[in-house]
Amino acid sequence: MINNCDQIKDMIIPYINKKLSDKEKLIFLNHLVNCKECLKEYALILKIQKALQTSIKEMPKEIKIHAFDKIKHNQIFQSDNMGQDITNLFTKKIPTPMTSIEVVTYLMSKISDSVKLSIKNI
Amino acid sequence: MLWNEQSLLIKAINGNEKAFETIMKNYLNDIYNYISFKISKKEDIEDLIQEVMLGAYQSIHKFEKHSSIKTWLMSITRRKIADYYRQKYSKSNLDTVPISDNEQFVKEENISKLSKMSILEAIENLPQEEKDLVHLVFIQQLSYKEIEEVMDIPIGTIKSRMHHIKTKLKNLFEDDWRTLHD
Repeated sequence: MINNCDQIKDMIIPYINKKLSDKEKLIFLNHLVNCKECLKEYALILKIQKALQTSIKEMPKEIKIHAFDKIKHNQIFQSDNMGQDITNLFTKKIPTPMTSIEVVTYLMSKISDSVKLSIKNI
Repeated sequence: MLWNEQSLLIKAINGNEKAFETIMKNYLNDIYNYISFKISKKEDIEDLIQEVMLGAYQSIHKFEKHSSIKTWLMSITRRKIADYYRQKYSKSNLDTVPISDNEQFVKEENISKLSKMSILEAIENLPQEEKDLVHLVFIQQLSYKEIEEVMDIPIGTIKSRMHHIKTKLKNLFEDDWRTLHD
């Protein structure tokens, strides 16, 4: 049977995070009603939790839309569908003409002979 | 884990990028909040999120060792934040880096003098490891068992650090404490 204040104090955070079973909740609340020490501890932790909950933010859209960019960038050099990947690269962001040439030159240096041949025939 | 998430996970492990993105979108906000709790520069936050996603994509085959997708992603996020600080502050160890990018480091012993600070300010001035723990407990709402996985420290250490944090914050709000007692 849980009766010890230390055990009850260990239950405060799971209680606040709604992770106690109904039985555990009953034990916890019954103890709190009769124990000023544990009630004070609960009040402090609740205060901390409420303050921190106000700091939770929604991720800005401009960050969300780029969350997977590094995966896509990483895959361009591993994909079998090299032609489509190159098209995707240029439709995402339109680089300056000079940047495009630099990117194509770099990509072409990575492409194997067989893929080079298929692009030449497009 | 929900059945739907489980089937998407199997597809993601088999290389299905769409399945991977669908799962990750459920956790992007949690990752964003963890990173922005410690780092304030927008470009760095954006870069770190991309790093976490790339890290998750490259290591998804290792997922089965973790209890949940959330603890797995929190572990990756924590490592990426550590890498960021290591890179940014080169030879400094984590104990000496600023608490956040744009604030000065406040020594622990000075926290007791800051009696009129808000709770958020007080937490902002905690050492990195304690700040991490507070975030994982109160914002990510992880259990101590889950935090043991994320931070790779024993539950006993977690409990004792939490006790230490509570004592520190309790001392800060002595006036409020007395009011409650009366």
